This record gives sequence, structure tokens and C-alpha cells, in this order.
Amino acid sequence: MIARRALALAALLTAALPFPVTADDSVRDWLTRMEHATASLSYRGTMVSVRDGQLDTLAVYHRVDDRGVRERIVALNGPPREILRNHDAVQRLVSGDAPMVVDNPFPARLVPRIAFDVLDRPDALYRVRMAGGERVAGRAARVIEIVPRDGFRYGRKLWLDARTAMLLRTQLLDAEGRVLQDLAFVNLELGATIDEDELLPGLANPARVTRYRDADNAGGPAQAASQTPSWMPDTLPDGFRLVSVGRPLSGDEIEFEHLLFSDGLSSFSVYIEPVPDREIVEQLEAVGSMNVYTGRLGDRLVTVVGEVPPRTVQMIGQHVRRAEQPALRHFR
Amino acid sequence: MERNNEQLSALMDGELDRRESDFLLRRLVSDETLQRDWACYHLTRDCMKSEFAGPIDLVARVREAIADEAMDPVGRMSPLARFGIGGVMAAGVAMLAVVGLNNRLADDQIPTEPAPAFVSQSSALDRQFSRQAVPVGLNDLPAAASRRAADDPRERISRYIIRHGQASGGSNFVSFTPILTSGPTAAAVPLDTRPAEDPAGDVQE
Repeated sequence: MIARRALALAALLTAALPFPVTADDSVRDWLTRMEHATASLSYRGTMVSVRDGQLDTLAVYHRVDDRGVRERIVALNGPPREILRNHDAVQRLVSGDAPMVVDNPFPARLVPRIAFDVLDRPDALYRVRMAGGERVAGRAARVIEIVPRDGFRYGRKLWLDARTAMLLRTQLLDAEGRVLQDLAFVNLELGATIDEDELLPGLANPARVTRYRDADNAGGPAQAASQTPSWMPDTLPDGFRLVSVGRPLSGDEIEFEHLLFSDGLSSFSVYIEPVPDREIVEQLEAVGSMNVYTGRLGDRLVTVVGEVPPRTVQMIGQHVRRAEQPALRHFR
Repeated sequence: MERNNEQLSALMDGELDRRESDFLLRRLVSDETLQRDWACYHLTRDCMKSEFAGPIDLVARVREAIADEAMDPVGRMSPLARFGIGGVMAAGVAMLAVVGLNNRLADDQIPTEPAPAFVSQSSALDRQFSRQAVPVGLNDLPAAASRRAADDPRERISRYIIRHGQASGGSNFVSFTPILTSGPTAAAVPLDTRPAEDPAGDVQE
């Protein structure tokens, strides 16, 4: 508890220091500080998201406390909808839909914080560079460009607060540099004191949520990550590695698997479960910046979800096989 | 039956030990009668606590029925009548109330809105990593309706996106915004018909 408070205090003190904080202007240093800032700062702000000509405005309340992060993100236009993150659980509230709570099976993220070797190596999957300074939400920002070297992953452009390295704006880019999504704060109060009321759901009748909570936290990420997969894609874009496998550990559960792949910056999940007793149509869908592939493999439903190009999730989904003798091919 | 309901009541009050809770929860997953009783208890408790958001006359009916029940001679109180504020209620009362509610909903042709879902039980993916699911706030409709909601492809994909964000995301706001910035229905993307082995890896947006 003391350590976490000290961390938050240090972050706030850092925020008060005049720019530049460090003489080291490397991408590695800025990304390290960005991770630190987003994990330790409380803030309140308003963001805009632009994608395919659609503009959304979001209010964000983010509080770091002794147990971790509590967060509420509220859509300010269109049908009422909210996401609430309460430490390990994420609740989705959409007007007209059943409320839904998903408890986090992972106490901490499994994908390592940006793996710098994917950015630094001569044969790196991405090209990165510091790209000057701009202003975002009234704050001075440093810009980092991350461009993919192939079409199997997206690039990013990041605007980091010059004082705290807090992420102020992020663009998702395709391999040709076209902007697919732009997500930016228009105002931001860093180090804000977030009241309890601001973290409560605003949608009507949230008490009707039916929720199940994992009772036993013994099965942590190490346990999950130790599983050997029963299913694997026989084709993977170069650089993507299996990070974790999640599935029931006891024999009386319905068989399923959740495979998480990452190249250190981009990631996607593959879900394999018994197919429901209905027809499955192979399809690709876009949910915001996420692309989703749904297909059928025998008696299994295969779903691939990730912030990667449609072609990547499709290729992965179509190449999932039983992992009796996995022989992965990597493409780049 | 009475023994089961007594245990359900104790479970709601948190009075069962872990072993008994485990046993009862396993039964609850597969026994629709038990699920209905469980839902009734919560519905009734919500009515008692004025938290139920449904038809007002249902709340009044439940309260009246509970008041009648409370007039029974001392010592004949049902073992079910243990929770709430000091806890006075009966499954039969709640059952009638729910049946009445269902009939009314059917008459009014209201149930186009998906029912609150037994999200964690209706999909294998919601029972990840062999950890036991424990209900912590059920005031639900029968499980069959809940399963229909959970089978909704939108629900399934939303869960997958959230799980992916939980597993891969950091501490910032980026992971879960796709759910808020997408339309009410996912946008279809044409399937790529080019050979998968295209080494250029060009993206067709």
C-alpha cells in the first residue's frame, strides 16, 4: 500500500517538474515513462474518438488506489453506454442491452509492457522515431511514431504529455500510414481527486446485473500460462508468439481455449469453444478499432479478436488446427 | 425440497460453509427449479428493499403476501423465511409474483429486451481457468431466458473483446473504448479471398 502511494506521489511530483524531465529523449525512455504514468496517475478528462468519419465523445474518470485501477468511461453521444472497471472486473452497460460483467481471470496483464527489442532490433517489426512536439488538450506533447514493416499489424502515433509522459492522444495507422482511428483528450485534469460518485454507473437500473465472481484467485497468470494449447494456428505472421493459454483445469468443464498472441506491441486472442447447435457463418466484423473473425472448424467455434488488420484475424482463424504436432510457419 | 430452499436461504445470507456452498452452487447450475427459487428469493428481497424496477403493482403484491405470511403463528414460519430485513418471505409467494410478472410481460409484449444473463454460466469461456463461479447479486429471470441473452453474438463478441483487453491491456483507457465507439451492430468487413500466403501482407481496409 505504502509503495503504491509512494509511486503515485512520485508520479505527481514528476508532473510538477518543469520540462524537460530527462535529457534522455529516446523512444524507449518515453515509452517507459508512459507506462509508469498511466499506471500511477489519477485523472479526469474528456476524449474524442474519430473513426470512419464517426465522432464519439467520451468522459473518462480514472482513479488509482491501493488495489489498483478503478475507471469509468462514459459515451457522451449516441445511445447511453458505459464501461466500468473495478480492479479485476469490467462491466459493460449499454442502454437496451443486458448489463454484463466480465471478471478478469488475469490479475495482471500478460502481454509484457512494450517489448523494446521489437522496436530496437535491426530486423524490428516496427520502425520508431521521435517526431517532434505538438499541443494536445492545452498541454505540450512529445510525439512518437511507430510504423509497422508489414501489413499484418497496425502502427501507432502517440502524443505523450511532455511533463508526465501521460498518453494524451493515440492514432492507429495501417501499413501505408493511413489513420484508422484517432483517440485524443480534449481536456485533461491530471492528478485529479476522483470521487466515489464519479465511478458509479450512471445508467438506469444497473442493480439488475447478474454477476459471477471468481471465488478462487489461486489460478493466476502463471498457472494459465503454463497450459499447453490443444489448438494452434499453423500460420502466424512473423514476430507473433503465444503468450498465454487459458482453459479449465479440471475435467468436468466444457472444453475451450483462449490463446493470447503478441508481438510485443500488437496482440490478438483466439477463442475456441464447442459450437452451439446452430449454423455458423464465416464472417469478419469491425468493432471500433477491433477486428473480429468468426468461423467454424468441425464442431468448434473459432473467434479471433484483436486490434490488428482484418486480414490478420482472418488468416489466423482459418489456420487454427488441433495442436497435436504444431508446425508453425511465420510470414512477414 | 424444503431442505434445499432452506439451504438457498442460508446461501443468500452467507451462512453456509464453503463445502455446502460448493455443493449447492453445483446444483444451482443444473437445477432449473432451484434456479427459479433462487430468482424468486432475490426478486422478493428486491421488492422488500424497494430495489425492483419492474411493475409497481408486483411490489405491492409481494409486500401484501409477505404481510399475510407474517401473520402465521409463531413457530410455523417457513424455514425459507429467513432473509430480507430479519427475513420474512416464502418461496410460494415469490413464485406467484414471478408467474404474475411473466404473464404480464407476455401480455404487454415487453420481453424484446434481453434478460439479464447468467453470463458466466452460459458460456464455457465464462468459466475460465476452473475457478468456481459464485453468484454475488442475483435478482435474475429464469436461466433459460438468460442463456438466450448470452448466446447473442453481440454479447459473445463484447465478452471476447473485454477479455482480450483484460489479458493484454495496460492501465490506460485504450483497451475498452472499441466497445463504446462502435455502433449498435458490428460493421461487416468483406472476407479477404486472396491466398493466405501472400508474402506482401498488404492490408485491404
